[in-house]
Amino acid sequence: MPAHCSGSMPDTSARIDDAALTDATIGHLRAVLESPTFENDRYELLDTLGSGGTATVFLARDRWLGRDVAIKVASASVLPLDAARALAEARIVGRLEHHGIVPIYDAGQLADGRTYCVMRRVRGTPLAEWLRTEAARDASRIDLGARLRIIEQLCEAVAFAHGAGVVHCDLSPNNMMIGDFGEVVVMDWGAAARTTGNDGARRREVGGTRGFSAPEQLDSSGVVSPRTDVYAIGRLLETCAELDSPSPPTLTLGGRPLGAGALRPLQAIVARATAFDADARYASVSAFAKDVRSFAFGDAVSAYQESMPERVGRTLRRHRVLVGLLASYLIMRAALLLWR
Amino acid sequence: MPQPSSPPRAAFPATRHSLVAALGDAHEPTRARAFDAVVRLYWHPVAAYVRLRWPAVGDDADDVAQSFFTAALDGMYLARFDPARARFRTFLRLCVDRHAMNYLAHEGRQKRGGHDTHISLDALEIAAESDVHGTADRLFRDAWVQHLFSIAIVRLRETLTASGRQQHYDVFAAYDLAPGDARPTYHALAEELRISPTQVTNWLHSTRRLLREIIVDELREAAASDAELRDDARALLGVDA
Repeated sequence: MPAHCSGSMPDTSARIDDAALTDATIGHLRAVLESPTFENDRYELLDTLGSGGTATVFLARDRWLGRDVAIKVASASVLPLDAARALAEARIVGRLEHHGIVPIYDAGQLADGRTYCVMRRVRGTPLAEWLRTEAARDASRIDLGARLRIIEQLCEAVAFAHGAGVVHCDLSPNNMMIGDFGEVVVMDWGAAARTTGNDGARRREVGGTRGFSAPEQLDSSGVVSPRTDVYAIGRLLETCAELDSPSPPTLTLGGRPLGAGALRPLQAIVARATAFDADARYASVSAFAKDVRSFAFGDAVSAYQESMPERVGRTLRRHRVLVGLLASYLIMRAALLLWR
Repeated sequence: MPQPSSPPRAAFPATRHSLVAALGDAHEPTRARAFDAVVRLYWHPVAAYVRLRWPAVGDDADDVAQSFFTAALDGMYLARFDPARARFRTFLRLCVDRHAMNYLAHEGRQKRGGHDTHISLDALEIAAESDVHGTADRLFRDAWVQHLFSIAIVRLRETLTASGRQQHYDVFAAYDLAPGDARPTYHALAEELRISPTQVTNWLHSTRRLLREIIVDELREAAASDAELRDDARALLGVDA
């Protein structure tokens, strides 16, 4: 062994003073070193918009085009084994040009191996936060009409994606943004799966958000399909209408409160959409949306077999103005006859 | 006691996880360089770990670290490492625990005239081997991470100074090494160093990139396998190495 190789304490000048390197300083260094570095320094990171187990979303400035964008960088700890596959998924979603789907501007792989996806910076409020704000405003009364419109817009965007053979697989209140004018943008397509026609796609891993994941997503051998998204949207409808609340608020539609009887069709829509067996659910998001729209307009819904009194009651409510006019006319006619 | 200088950086830069592999190399000088590199990477973490994990050692933590590496140099411990069974850091930590245990037992005997040991070896063994909650691993890892950053920052300073970019390091030190509550704004730093805020941004950016490369290089040298390297790089920097 060489003389210097004695196991002695190494030269202390080869390290900096421990006092200068506190846990907080190391934490800061790790955070800045984890920040992605882009080729040509095209994107300047401005802020962190959100961070989860699988990715971090940064607010960044696109120096070339002079606009703000959101960049989602996959966490290295969950880096897909095949980065090409992740980029292929970005390409699939990038083809979905719909006003309700966040557009992808760019995607690629960092020098350190992580994949990234550059998206439009969507301004708005996540549905989860939007619901909390609404509840803080008046927790005892809910304008169901506004919430049904959100669900309908969501259905439009998701149906468009299904038409292109893409299933979102992770629809939840955190993955939808509500704009200032009530517009809905579906975010976070990172868990999306490609399907062909009506065939399902086998999931590579368990996905989705607890409470909104369809049973087949929790089964590693499960096959996802558009009905998987139907399940999640059904749960979203249930959440928006607070049908599962222990102390349900008063739901209003068109300014009028809905009684327990009037809510049965809505409960039936949710029940069909969230059936355990995928085959028992709506065959498509469009069919689900049609029922939601019918409910909003006071028409019959396919998920609910109403009794004759219910049908009469609904028809009377549906044509309230006409019935009112007719009743007024008949009363006037009767009064005239009696007067003569 | 001879004070070794840092091993030349060109010793093991070419291949991945060369250091640990070189510990078992048939070529003696290669083995010696590898051992020196292990000392450089782990002497301080071992001493810091012993201080925290074995409070009974007290002020002798440096002596325990010293005797551990001396014993390791004599062929104990490190030659038994099998990358298929454990990661190198975990293996090293277990060796240190056993060494500290022996040290305490020996000290106990010495205090009692070299006869009976009143420190229960069983109790020490249990303390050494049991790490149900991963506390020992975490302690050792934290000490190692601090040392890793420490030596990487020194390399960063040397690299930048050698290439005439001392001011880049000054910006980095003034910003990234400052305590959180004393961290200046880019503008304040620019004014202080009489450079533009854009230079602060760009220099910080390039210096951090260099530091990341140095850390990955250090990890590459210290890792016993590709998986170990990947895990460490992801856990520490969130990057794939």
